[in-house]
Amino acid sequence: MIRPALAFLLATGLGGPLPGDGRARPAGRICASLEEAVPPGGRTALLVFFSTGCAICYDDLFESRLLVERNGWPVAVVGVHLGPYEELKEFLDKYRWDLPVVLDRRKLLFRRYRVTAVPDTVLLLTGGEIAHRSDPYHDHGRRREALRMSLERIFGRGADRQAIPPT
Amino acid sequence: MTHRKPALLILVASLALVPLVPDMPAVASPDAAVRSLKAVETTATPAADRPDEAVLARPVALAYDDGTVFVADAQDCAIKVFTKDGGFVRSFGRKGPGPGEFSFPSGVCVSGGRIFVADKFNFRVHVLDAEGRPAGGGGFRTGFAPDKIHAIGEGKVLVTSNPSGRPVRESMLHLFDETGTLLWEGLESRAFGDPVYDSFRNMFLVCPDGPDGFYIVFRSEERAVLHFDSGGQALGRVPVDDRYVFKPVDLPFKGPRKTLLGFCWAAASDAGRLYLLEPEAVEGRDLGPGRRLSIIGRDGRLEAVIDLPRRVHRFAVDGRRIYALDEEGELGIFEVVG
Repeated sequence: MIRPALAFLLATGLGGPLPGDGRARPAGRICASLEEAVPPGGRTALLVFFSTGCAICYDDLFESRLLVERNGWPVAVVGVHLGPYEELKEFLDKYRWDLPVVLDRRKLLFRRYRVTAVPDTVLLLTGGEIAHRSDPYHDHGRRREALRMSLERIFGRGADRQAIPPT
Repeated sequence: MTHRKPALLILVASLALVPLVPDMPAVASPDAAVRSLKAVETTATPAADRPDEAVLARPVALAYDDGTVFVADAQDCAIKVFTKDGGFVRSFGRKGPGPGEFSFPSGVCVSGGRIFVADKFNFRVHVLDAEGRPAGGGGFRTGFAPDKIHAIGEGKVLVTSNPSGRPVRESMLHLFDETGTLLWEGLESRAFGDPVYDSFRNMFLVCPDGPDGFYIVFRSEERAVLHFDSGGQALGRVPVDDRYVFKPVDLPFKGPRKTLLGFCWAAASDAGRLYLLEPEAVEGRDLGPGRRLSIIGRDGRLEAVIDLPRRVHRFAVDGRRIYALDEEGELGIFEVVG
C-alpha cells in the first residue's frame, strides 16, 4: 500500500517495437538485455530502474551517474526501463543520456530483482551478487546516502569526500 | 482544482455522517458455515508469447464486460483488450492530450457498448467506441484528476478522485451522466493532521451493484461497507462479518508510530455479492496484495473464502471466473472450483 504511493509519479508513453521479439532491434545505448549492457564478468553494475515521466526517477538516474563519475568508481550505471521504445528514445535524446539502458518490456529484470515500483536501484557485483538495493521507504536523500555508503564499502572513500577527515 | 458541488446535491457520505446511517440488520451468526473454495488458473496465452502491444507495462485497472476484458495500462497510455480466455484483441491509445490519447489512464469501465476511461492527467473522462475511436463527443472534462470509473446502470458513471492532501474536506465520489453533467458528489475526505496517513485512510474502493447503486469499501480501519443507490442516496452501512479480519501494519513514518488496520486491498461485486481481497503484510511494515478472496453477502455475512493461485492487485468477477491483474502486472484468469 505504501510502495505504490511512493511510486505514484510514473511515466506514460507511446507504443512501439520491442527488442527481442523478432522485430526491429534497438541499436546503440538502448540494449535488449543486461548482458548486452554489461558483458558478463565485466564491471560492477548499478541498475537504476526508472520511468521517463517520473521526476524522482530522473533524480535517481542522474545523481547515481554523477556520484559514480565524480568518485571515479569502476561501476557501470545501467538504466532499466519498462515503457515503449519511442518514449525511451525520446527521453535519451532529450537529456543526451549516453550510458546503456535496458529496455525491459518483458519485465525480465523487473522480475529477477523483484522491482515493483520505480525508482529502484540495485548494485550488482561482477558475479551477479546484490551488494545494495535502495529502500523505497526512504526519501531521495537517504537513498542516495545509503548508495554512497555501499559504494564506499566496496571501493573506498570517493574522491569527492577525500578532503573531509573521517569522523 | 475545482470541485463542482451543487448545493442540492451535497449528500455527503463522509464517515463523520456514517453513524447517522442506520446499520443494516444482521451481521452474521458466528456459527454460520464459511465455505472454503479455491481458484485455479485457466489456460491463457502466456505473456511472453503476446505481441508487444499486448504487454502490460503498468496495468492499474481492469473491467469485464460481456466476454471482454479491458485493461488500463498507465505506463503505455493505452487500453488493452482481451477475450475472456486471455486472447489479445487490440490495444488503443497513446500518450497525449488529443482524441484517442491518454495521460495516465487509471480507470476503465464499459457502459452501453462504450468504453469510459479515467484519463487522469488530462483531467477528463474519455469516451470511446469498441474499436477505440472517440465516441459521444469524446467525453468530458472533470475539473479534477479522475482515478477510477464505474458504470452505474445505464447512462451514469461514477468517478473517484484522490484528495489533494490539503486539510479541507473534498468530495471523492462524482456521479456523471454520459454527457458529463454532474449529478451528485459525495464521500468527503477526512484529515487527521498527517497527509501521508490521511492518504491511506481516504483510500476506498467502489463496487457497483448493478443498476441499483453501489457499495463503498474503505481499504483500512472500517469494518463496514456503505451502500448507496444509483443517485448517490445513502442506503445504509453494512457491518462486515468479524471473521473477516483486519491486517494491522505499523506505518514507518516520522513522528508517533501509527498502526493502520488494513481491511481490503481490492474489491469487486457480482450477482449481489461483494468480493473483498484481503491484504497481506509485507516485510512487517507494509501491506500488499493478497491471495484470499472473501465473498460477502448483502447482509455482511462472510459466505465463502476463495484461495487464489497467486497474489492479485485488481480483479473482476463473472460467475465462477475471476479476471485479475497479478502482482507482476500480468493478466490472470482463474476458475473457481469446489
